[in-house]
Order: sequence, then C-alpha cells, then structure tokens
Amino acid sequence: MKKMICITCPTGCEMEVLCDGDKITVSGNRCPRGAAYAESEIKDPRRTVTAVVHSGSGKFQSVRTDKPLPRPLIPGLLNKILKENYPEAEPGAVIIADIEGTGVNLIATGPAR
Amino acid sequence: MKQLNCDVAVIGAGGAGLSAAAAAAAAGKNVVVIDREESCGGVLCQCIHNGFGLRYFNEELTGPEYALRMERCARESGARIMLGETVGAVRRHSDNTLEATLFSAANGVSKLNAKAMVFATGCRERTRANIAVPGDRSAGVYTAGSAQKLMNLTGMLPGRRAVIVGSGDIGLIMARRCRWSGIEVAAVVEILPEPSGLPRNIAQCLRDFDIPLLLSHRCARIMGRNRVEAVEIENLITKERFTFQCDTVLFSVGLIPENELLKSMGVEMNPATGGPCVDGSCQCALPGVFAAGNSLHVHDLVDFASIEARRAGAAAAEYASSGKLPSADAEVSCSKTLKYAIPNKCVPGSACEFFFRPTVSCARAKLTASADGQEIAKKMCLSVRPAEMLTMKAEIPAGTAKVEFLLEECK
Repeated sequence: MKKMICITCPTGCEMEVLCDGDKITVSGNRCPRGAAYAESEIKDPRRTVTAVVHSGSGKFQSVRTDKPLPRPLIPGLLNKILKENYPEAEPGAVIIADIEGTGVNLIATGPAR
Repeated sequence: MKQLNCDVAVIGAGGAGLSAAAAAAAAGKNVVVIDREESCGGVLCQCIHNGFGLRYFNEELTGPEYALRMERCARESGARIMLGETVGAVRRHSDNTLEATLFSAANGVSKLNAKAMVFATGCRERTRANIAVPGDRSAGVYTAGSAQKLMNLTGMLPGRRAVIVGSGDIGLIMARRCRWSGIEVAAVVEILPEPSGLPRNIAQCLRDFDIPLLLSHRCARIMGRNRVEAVEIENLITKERFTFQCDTVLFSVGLIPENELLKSMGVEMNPATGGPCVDGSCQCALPGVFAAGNSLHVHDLVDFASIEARRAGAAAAEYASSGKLPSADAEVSCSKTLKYAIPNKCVPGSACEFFFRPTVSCARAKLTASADGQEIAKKMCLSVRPAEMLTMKAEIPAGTAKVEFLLEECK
C-alpha cells in the first residue's frame, strides 16, 4: 500500500493506493481525477513543467507544457531550454512541439518581457 | 491638473481588482482601474507555475494566463485600465464622493473622482526583519517572492545553493523553481510542527526532489561577511544546533495585507486579518469604500480572491447608483478555533458567504452557524488546517442581531 497526495487540484486529497499486479485500487480521493492521477503516478508519473525561456536578445517569457510530461524527460527539457534561445511568441503559441515524441508541447504563457 | 470622473474606481489590477472591475462594469457603470505597474495581473505575472483558475475558470492555468484571462474579462465588460499610475492619497468629500490623487512619470499628478472605490491592493511579504533573525547582514537574503520576481520577471538567478525559511506556498513553489533552474535547495525549515503550505505543494515541490522539510526547526542565525555562507538551524525540540552551507536564504514567512491608503482614511481595521472590517458586500465602515482580495484577508487561492472581488465590484456598482446599500445590522463573531470570520457584519434577511481561517488542525470538524442562538447552517469540514481557508454560505433570518460561528473537532 502506498500513501499519496493528489496534486490535481488545491484540495490535495490524501489517497491510499493498493497495487495488486496490474490492478490498482485507490481510496481517499474525492473525485475521479484522483484515481486517474494515482494510476498515472504508479505506471507513468508525469508533471506539468513551468519555466522561462530566453529570446537571445535580452527578452524572455514564461512557458509551460500543455499536458503533464513524463518525469524522466523533465531534466532534458529544462537543460535544453536553459541552453537554447527561442524567438518571442504570443501567449498560447507553441515554443517546442511534440517533446521527445510524447505529443506534449511547450507553450508560451505570458508576454515577452 | 488633469481630472477624471468615474462611477467606480478600482485600485489594483491584480486577480481581485480586475474581477471587481469586470463585475462593476458589467452592471453598466463607468469603471476605472488603477495600477502602478506597467502591466495587469499584480503578483500573478511572476507566478509562472500552474494551479490557478480551477474554481474561477474551471481550467488549470498559470499565473500569467490567469492574469490575461481576467484582464480580458475586465476590458470586455468595458472597464478602463490605467497602468503606471500610483495612488498617493484618497480623500472623501463632504458629498461622500471619493478623490484619489494619482502620480506617474507620464501624466504627473492627476485626480480621479469616483462615487465608489474598491481597494484591491494585495499584500506584502513578511521579511527576515519581521521574524528578527540575527546574524550578519550579508547579500543573498531574499523574501521568496522577491527571488521569484528576480527569476521570473528579470530572468536572473538569486544564487546557487539555497535554504528556504518557512513552508508557506510561495516558499515551496520556489523550492521547485530553484531545482528546475539548477539551484540546489539544502532544506526547507519550518518553525511550526506542521507545514504551512498546501499538501499538494509539499508533494510536488519537495518530495519530488527529496528536499528535506525540517519541522519544529528555526533559522537561528545567518552567517557570511559579504555574501551568505551558511545558516545556523535550531531543532526546537532537542535544542540541537547545526549549520547548512548556502549562498542564498529565502524567507517565506507569511503575508501582510497592504492597507496604507485605507488606514490613512481612518477606516476601521480588523486586527485578526490585517484588513479592514467589512460587511457582506465587502463594504468598509466608510460608505462607498470597498475592499477585496489579499488586502482584505490573505487567501489561499486567487480564485477565492476573484470570487470575493466580484461581489465587491457588484456592490460598488449598486452603491454608485443608489448611494446606499442595505444596512448590515447583524454582528458576526466566531469561536477561538477560528482565527477570524469575514465579513464582520451582514444584512439580516439575506444570504451571505463567509470565509474563515481555522486556528486548529484536525481530520474532521463541524462548522455551525447560529443566528441569535438558533442554528441556521452547518457543515462537516475534512482535513482542517490553518493553511486552508474554510467557507460557508448561510441565509441570515430577518431581524438577526448576532451571527456566531463555531468550529468543533469531531473525534
């Protein structure tokens, strides 16, 4: 049995997750998103990544992944955006498409500053 | 000197102010929003992490996205937003209208006259000085929010290895932000026996990175001749002391509502919240003066601040039309298990939504509202903690003089 806090919303349900082979039983969640999170956390943990990217001309802007990204890919993404420059884009525009073939995009969230 | 007139003036274009402006403008009023920054959103602009908007927009957004969305709501409702203008003073004329003195580099000094004003001025962070941490006055000591501003709005890093003092949400978010930017985080130190931030932030900002959370520990001293070199930490239970090598200390030790303007106007303040005393429409003890958001009381979520502000904006619009609001004759009080109940007064014979901050932690508690001794509403609250606000809606019977709230732990 594994104890887990759901990170889907600010309620932060404390869940108990029971893994029996492929079967996962979740309790303590107050909504179905908790069960989905618990299952993903066991099989393929993912996080939404937020950061800033630099334009190379002194400007930078805030970005996020449009869906949660598999945790093992996060350091690679962060290293890449730390080293590379990205042209200014409108909020909502895709900065990096289809990260490592996951279908997850990095999108701009705020104006370039 | 430039003079501008409007029905409702909103001071502060953050998550609360923009929402108040949208509501007042939607009611058909001529609304002007003032902010000293060059862009809308207030602190949301530097909160580049996700977790905003689930309650207000039914969608998970980052701070900048929430700000853009709320700005659009305000503009589409017809509110006019004036940026780069600082409010220096507000005074009340004998005819009850309000006059704000504004100054800016672009327009110099100007006057804004309004029938009603909503103060949504946000809050400030408590600093090292507020909790009196002794030691050297080295460089590298920041509030968590100023480090966040440095990283997210100027693109600079505050240091290479940090210790975070206080486990408030901003500190937890900054622990992850540091790690994702290549800054080591030695530990988060919390003086209380339990964390101050949301459980989800403990999980996703500390546990994901194996950052130690030291409960019942305090920062006893900061050392470093020029730059911070180490901090001394004390275990409050064993009294044992040890040091962490670091070049950066971030303080996340609470927020103080920013109400200098309201105080200068002589508005009655509430010592429990640090904000003004208000009635159910967010109106202060001075008619036509409203407050909402973190300057009224510190919220856990911007969504709650925006929802509260919507009410303030709608009430300000009504006041601007009629010159008065229903009389809030019922006094609100609460048990010692609640730090405060907001509003402080409400209108008998109407529905009102209340916000509370508990002083206790327990798995289950019963929250009861009574009007002159008669129970009028109750609800069960799960995982009650001081870090999480409670809310309750209640119908206040006509003729009520006193509304009391009681929070009792259920064994």
